[in-house]
Amino acid sequence: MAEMWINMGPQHPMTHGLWNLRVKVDGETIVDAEPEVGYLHRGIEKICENRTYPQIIPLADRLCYGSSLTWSHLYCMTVEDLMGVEVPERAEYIRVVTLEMQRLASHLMWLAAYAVDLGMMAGFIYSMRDREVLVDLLQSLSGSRLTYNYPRIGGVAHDLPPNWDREALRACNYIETRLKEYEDLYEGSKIFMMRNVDVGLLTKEDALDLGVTGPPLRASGVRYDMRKDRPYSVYSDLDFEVCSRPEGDCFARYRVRIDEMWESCKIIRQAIQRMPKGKWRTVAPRNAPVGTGLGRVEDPRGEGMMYVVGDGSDKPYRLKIRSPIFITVSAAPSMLVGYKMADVVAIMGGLDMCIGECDR
Amino acid sequence: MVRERGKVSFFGYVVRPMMRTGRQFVRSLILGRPNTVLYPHEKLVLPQVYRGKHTLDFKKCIGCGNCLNICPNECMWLEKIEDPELGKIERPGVDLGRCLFCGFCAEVCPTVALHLTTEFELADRERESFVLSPKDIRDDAFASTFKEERQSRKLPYLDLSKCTSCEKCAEECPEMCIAMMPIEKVDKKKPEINLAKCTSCEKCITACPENALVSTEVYESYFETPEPRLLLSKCTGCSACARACPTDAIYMMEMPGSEKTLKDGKKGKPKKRAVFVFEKCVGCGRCFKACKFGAIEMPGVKK
Repeated sequence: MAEMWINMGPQHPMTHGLWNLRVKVDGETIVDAEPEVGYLHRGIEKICENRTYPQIIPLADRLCYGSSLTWSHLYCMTVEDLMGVEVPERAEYIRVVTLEMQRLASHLMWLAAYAVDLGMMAGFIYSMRDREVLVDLLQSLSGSRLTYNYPRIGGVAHDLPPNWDREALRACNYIETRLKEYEDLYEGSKIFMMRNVDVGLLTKEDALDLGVTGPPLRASGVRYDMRKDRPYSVYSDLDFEVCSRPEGDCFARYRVRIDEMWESCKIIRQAIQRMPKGKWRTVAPRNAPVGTGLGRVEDPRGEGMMYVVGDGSDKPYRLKIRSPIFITVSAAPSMLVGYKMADVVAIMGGLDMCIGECDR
Repeated sequence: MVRERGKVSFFGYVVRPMMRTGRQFVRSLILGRPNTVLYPHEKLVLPQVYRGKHTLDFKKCIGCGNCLNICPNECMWLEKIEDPELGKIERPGVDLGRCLFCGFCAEVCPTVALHLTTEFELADRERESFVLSPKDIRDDAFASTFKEERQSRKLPYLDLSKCTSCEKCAEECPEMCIAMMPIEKVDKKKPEINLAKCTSCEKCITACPENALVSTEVYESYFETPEPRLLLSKCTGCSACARACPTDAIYMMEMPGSEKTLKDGKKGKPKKRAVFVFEKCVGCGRCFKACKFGAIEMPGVKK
């Protein structure tokens, strides 16, 4: 049969954003694949050069709609590294709690999108319903539902409102009961298992060679997590496991994310217990010194990195953003080749694509 | 191709998901505990920190323009208005069409006059209706109902025109945080207060015989305020900066010995120079922008 290229995107329900996946099919089987990104390029790195240091925080939020807090935190961490600002301990603990909540919310949003990709509307509605609990908590803390603008250079914007920590612990309990429900809902479903198990195999060697990070890498059997291997903030004081699976298929990726949600609940409990009293913000200097700053964090989607060059003024000379999805999507051909056309949705959905940070 | 994982029997893969959806059905429809609200009729209670439409307290606002400087999208501007109560004032307006609701303007406000309310239903059919002038966002009562998170404290503010350099405040201060600093080219000393050490005991205020020190409520600032610097050789004494200063932190003082000898042998008026009282400065940079002779330097502020 003749081979042909099929464009899946830029407007396709599978894509979750604006990107194009070109697949070469021989009948139903995929022979070759080529991801095309860049439809959502906004030139954020260049805009950052024209803005002062605090003004970039709300812009960093807009890198990824799914986990905006991680990116603004990463930006603040990088600039603190450049300026040499000491962050109060309470602020670090508040940051860890909010980051893990953001991870939960992001994974739940991925789960919702993944469920609806695989034709499971109940899964979509349930995950979105439970994400609401976390989003409401973050809203009462930071004042916004999606683009929080919460971390600041040298701390966080607001202190915890009264009873917030108790509400957060209750939310953890709630999410844990719901996670059991998801396991029943997804793993109990034959259709879900048939579309996931042994689909989209990414070998350990391929994953390491292509620079894949985050849950797809951990699902390929590599125990690599920035929070454990290069601890930032106060993660070194907290007790949690790095979740990994040896299989490397879509089901392993799903399982790693669910396990990570259990771990996130554990981290939130510990961080709230250990949270000291005191200041939550320090006054950051206006101008950065001449030099460079580097920050690396474990985003829900992989390893995020920012590199900032200061030239002594109140604006950065250059800000480089390393997006995990930009690199993970390059592994698409090695995951897709050999599978059927109908598996594309499951395989690419399992990567948790976020085009905002990918194209920046 | 499909590998069996654990025990997924026929009833397992049908009954387990069905049980979950059935439970939710009972909970939301039969027990009457739905997860949603009927939006236009019911509304969620929003937290105080929610960032919606702006409000401005005209009486608290000093028109310094710090909100303009921090705004990432440059959606604010200062408007000159005539108020029957407050006279000629400058107050900021907001273009909500450009605003990204980051809340920096409220955070940077030195007198906590600007706030973001919980009003979020801002959609409109015309783009012009997003442009809100200062009068549209005026709400003088809102600021008193808002619970401030930023801590305030009372600090002595110096009125330099009344000060006689008697040094009584410096003698009285139990924390030794007032230092009498001589003003260059002016035969006077002014007390400079170390605000970090000040405990707001107000002993200096009661000690002052001329009532030059006034107790003022000041909110802590999260942002570093750039301080203006005067180049004395370039200062012409035109007092444009003193007129521009929103907090009256700049005083024009005569420099004795700088009088020019006129043609008829008499001496003219002495030259004036600007003197800053840094305790009052909010770092807005308006003096820097007003100076036409480049006599005021301010690192990091755009002209």
